[in-house]
Amino acid sequence: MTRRARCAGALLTALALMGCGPAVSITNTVGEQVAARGQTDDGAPLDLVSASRPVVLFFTMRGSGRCMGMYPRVAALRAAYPVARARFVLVDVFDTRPMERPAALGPDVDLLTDPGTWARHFDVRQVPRVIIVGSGGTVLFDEALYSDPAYFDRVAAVLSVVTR
Amino acid sequence: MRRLWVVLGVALGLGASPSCQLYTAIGERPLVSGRTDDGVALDLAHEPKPIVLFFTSPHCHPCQAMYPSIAQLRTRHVAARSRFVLVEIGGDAPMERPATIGPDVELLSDSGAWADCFELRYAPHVTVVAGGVLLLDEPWTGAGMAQRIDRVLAALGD
Repeated sequence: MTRRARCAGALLTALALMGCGPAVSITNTVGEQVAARGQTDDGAPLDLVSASRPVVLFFTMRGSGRCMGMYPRVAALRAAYPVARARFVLVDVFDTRPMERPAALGPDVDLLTDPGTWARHFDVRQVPRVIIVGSGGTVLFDEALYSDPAYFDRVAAVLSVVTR
Repeated sequence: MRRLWVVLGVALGLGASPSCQLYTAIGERPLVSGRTDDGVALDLAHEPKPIVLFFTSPHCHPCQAMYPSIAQLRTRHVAARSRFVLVEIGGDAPMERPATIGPDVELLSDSGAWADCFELRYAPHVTVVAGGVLLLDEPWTGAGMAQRIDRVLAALGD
C-alpha cells in the first residue's frame, strides 16, 4: 500500500468517526424528510417516518444550565397538548449513561439517551434545540434555542398547526 | 436648500410606501391582509386553509422557471384545501396570468407591501402560512423546493 493510499484510508476513517461518513444524513430543513428511527429509554420504538402523530424532539445535554432551564417550558408545552396528539421526546445527546427523569419535566415526555446517533443525524452542534417532525417524517420546525424570548411561543404556534 | 428638499422628498417617498412589522421567523403569526387581483380577500391571520405565496417579479427568468413546478404542485393539492397565490412584486400594472402556471393559482399584484412584510430582497421566493402561522419562508431553489412544499402540505393533511 502506498503512502498516499494509507493517508486516504486514515482520512476516511477519521471522517467516519467524526460522523461525516455517507451513512449520516443531514436533511433537516423544513419540508425535508428525516428517516431516523430508534428506541426511547423505555424501549418504545421511535420511527419518525411511520409515526402516527407529530414528534417533538428536544435535544439537550446533561449539565447544561440552558437545557435545564428549558424543562419547565417543555412541561408547560406538554400539558397544553394531549399525549394522543403529539409525542414529546427529550434526547440527551452524547451520553451513554441512562438518564434520570428531570423533576421539572413532568411524566409524559419520553426520554432518549443518545450516544450520538441522533445528534449526528440531525447535525446537532448546539443545545438546546427543538425539532418538530410531522407525518411522513417531514421536518416542520428546527431551531437552536438562542436568546429569542418568543422562541417557545413560536414552537407552540407551529405545534398548534400540526396537531390539528 | 435644494439638497434639503431632495432629502425630504426621499424621506417622504419612503414613508409613503406601505410598511408593516417584519415576519421572517418560523412560528410567527404574520398579520398581513389584502386582496388578490380578482378581489378575493387574503388574510393570513384568519385564513382557514394553508396558503402558499410564490413571490415573483417581472422579467425574472428564474421566477418563470418556477411556474411549471407550481402548476404541478397545484394539481397534487386540490384548490378546495389550500390556496396558492402568485405575488408579483414591483409590477407597474396588474399582472397577466402566465400561461405555464395553470388556472387555479390566484394572482396578486403587489406594490411592495407584501414583499416588505416578509423582508424580501430577491425573487423567486416562497412562503407557507397555515393556521396563521409562518411555516416556511425561503428563496425558491428549484424543483426540490416543490417537493418540500408538497411534504409540508401533506403533513398538514392536504
